[in-house]
Amino acid sequence: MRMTLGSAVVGAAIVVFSVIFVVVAMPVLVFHPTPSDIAEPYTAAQLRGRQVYEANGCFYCHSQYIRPQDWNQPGVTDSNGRVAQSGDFAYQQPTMLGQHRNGPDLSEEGGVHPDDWQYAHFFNPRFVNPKSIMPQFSFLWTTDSAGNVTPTQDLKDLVAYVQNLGGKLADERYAEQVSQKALFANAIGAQANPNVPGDVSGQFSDTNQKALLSVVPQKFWTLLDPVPPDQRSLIDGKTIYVTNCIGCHGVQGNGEGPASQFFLNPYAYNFTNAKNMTSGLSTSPGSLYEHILYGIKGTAMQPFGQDLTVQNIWDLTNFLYTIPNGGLTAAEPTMDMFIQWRPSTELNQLSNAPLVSPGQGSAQISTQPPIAYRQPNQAWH
Amino acid sequence: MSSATGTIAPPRYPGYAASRRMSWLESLSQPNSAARNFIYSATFWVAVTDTIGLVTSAEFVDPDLFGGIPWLEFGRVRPMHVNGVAFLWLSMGYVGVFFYIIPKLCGRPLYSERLANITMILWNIWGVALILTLGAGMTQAREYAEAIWPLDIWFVILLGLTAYNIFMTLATRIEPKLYVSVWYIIGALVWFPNVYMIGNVIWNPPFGALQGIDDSVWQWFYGHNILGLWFTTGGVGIAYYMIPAITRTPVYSHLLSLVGFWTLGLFYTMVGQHHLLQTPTPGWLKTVATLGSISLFVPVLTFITNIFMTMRGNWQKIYESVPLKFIITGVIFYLITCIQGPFQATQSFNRLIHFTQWIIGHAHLALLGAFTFILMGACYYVIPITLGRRIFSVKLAEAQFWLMTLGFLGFFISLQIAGLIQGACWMTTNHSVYWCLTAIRPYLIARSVSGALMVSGGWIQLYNLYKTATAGEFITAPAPAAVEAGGL
Repeated sequence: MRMTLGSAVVGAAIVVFSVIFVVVAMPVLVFHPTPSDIAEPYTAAQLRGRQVYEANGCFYCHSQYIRPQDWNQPGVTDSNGRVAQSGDFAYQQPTMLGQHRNGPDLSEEGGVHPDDWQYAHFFNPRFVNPKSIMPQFSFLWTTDSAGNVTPTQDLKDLVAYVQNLGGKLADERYAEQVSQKALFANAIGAQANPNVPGDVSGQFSDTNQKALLSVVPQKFWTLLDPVPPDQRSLIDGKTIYVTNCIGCHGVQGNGEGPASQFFLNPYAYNFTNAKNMTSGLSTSPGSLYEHILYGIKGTAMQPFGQDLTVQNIWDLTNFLYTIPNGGLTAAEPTMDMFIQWRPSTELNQLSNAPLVSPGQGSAQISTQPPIAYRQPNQAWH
Repeated sequence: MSSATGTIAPPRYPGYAASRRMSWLESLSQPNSAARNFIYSATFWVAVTDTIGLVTSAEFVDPDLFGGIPWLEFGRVRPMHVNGVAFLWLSMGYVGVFFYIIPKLCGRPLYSERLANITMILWNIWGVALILTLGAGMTQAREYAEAIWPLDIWFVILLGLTAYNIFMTLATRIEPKLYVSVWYIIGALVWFPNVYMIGNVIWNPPFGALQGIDDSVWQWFYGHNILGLWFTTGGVGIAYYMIPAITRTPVYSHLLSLVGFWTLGLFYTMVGQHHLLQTPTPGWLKTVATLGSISLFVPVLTFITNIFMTMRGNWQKIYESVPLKFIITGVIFYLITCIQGPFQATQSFNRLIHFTQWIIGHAHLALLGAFTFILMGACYYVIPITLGRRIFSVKLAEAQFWLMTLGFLGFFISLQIAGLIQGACWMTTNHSVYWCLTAIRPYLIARSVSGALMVSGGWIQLYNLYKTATAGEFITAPAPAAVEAGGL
């Protein structure tokens, strides 16, 4: 074949444009997915937040679709009972499917965490997740002349967008976060002053203990730790605590980690109260296990089921009972620091009642509508 | 002659005018000045944007390293690095080498040296604007297509000016035959501006995107074809010129190069969808992409066969010629890239490695291992030969070669291991992304360290080319063959 300028130019154009017709033009001509059951248009704030998400390149590390093999798999959020459908993206321009997962998939992120967790996380992701390698977004906050640090409108919009990831499902989860947060705010009540860091006395109040109990299945209420609190278990538990929990619960275990001090409402739980850890209504090993495994909706407590094994969680639970006796301040926790939790008379009475769903009468939260217990990854059903 | 002092030398090449000072404007119309200026600019950009790449990799190791500085936030620095190496280092370097090759193969000077130099200046200003806008968070949020609309238009104009210059040179050529490199350059210049305009949805200024999931189909058609229809096409064209020229051996087979050229255009255009194999997009597109990706063995193996058969009996020359050493290494990395690529595009393997660091390793194997090595070799060929000066320091160039090669191998292998760990972690254990991140941290540290070696290679090239241009020894001995060969 003799190549001339004409044959090279025209030939090159014909070859490539015929393939372009197939792989670029034909999809647009024939493929018009209708909006799926969860797709919904963005509000103005969400749209602005989406631009902040674009501008800061969030999509380089966070994908926005759940693959068939990711279904209920790690790497995605805990609300991943749904594989992405083509109609989910109907209102997106551009779509940000993403090519890498240096962070978790965010397509169902909306409503998985409450707003206060999001703000703490954007300020510094290590505050709530010490293993995270996400950049700080502290530049999305402003400091006024009085020294008050407040989120900019950009950040508020960004949180609005993130809380909508997952469309209508996200809205449903977010509504649950809001109502659960109201439950805990009511339960802690006026005894806790959110402006005074460290005033967490409201956490041990009867109403708050019962609110915490209300999100745990009854069979966990008086469950004891199946892993014996030996030296290995306590040391492993401390390692897990230090690498996962200090951002909120603090290096002393008193709930004064940086995230908790500056951002969270309600505060992270205070484990230093010996009385509460000995016979508290909501501090049974079973309750703590359940909280660590599934998190607590409405609070910044996130599910650790994908980061920790079952034994990890029981070890951590064992370790928490050494904190009032200096488990965190001593070089290593010893078995004599361990507090054996025993159910109180009140809890025995509550748990001897006929087995019901939590929130349906056992915990007396009269001002709140009953909240049905749901596992986090079943939230959308 | 005063060549011993290295101050004055007789002009050996047309347009070589060291004997009197030129005005700046005059220097812009000297033959080959545009080729050199493009290569100098490209070398500057590779040093800068690779350093930016080192910043991104350091942020993997210590995310709080530049915490709270908006323009150094990972999601803004990463596109600076990617766009910088793609559109400033590789693209400017390619155009510079094209501006040298095309006149050589046409038997006449470039159509307009002054226009080419104006393109160079506009391109550099574009580059500064690109880096600044990305740092300020102005982006269209599509990988490789981040540049905002005015910069898109500006870039298409730059490509148009380049293409005009080269096609006018071709239309008025003296040598009637079109050598294989010229086809590839023609292909690259016909395809790339079109791919760029389609991929950037350039007729939709506010978004630069379609609505709905079709946008992803377009985005990855584009994302893969700036590689296939520009970097591969241009790089292969350059290798087809440089290797026969340096070894003074004709290309082994005209037929193989024909097959390679036409199948490249046919198969590469199909493959974009292999980035979206597990997305809810039409299945037939995925099938086309997988088949196209596997068919890429045809253009790749024809090219590799042709090059290696041309090298038959010439292998010892890689010890004599720094440019050849770089280019042959690049060709070998190209072969590895193109063996990996088709396997990655199959559903079963893609399921394991998609979303992982493996992909970063593969992308660098193509753009860094293959095409950066080919282009660095071409830079070390074009600059001395058009200046009539020897490379300032061959030892430095050798050091650069080994820093780049060893650094790249460390970089590549650690990322591949990290990717397999991540993929296995997600598929077989019940752990979150965070847990898997701690598992790959040692490999990310190894990646940053070996990345630093490569970055130093870029700065060495900048220094070496600068010293070659200002203090390189003039070539006076009548050994044009060795000089032509990029020899020492």
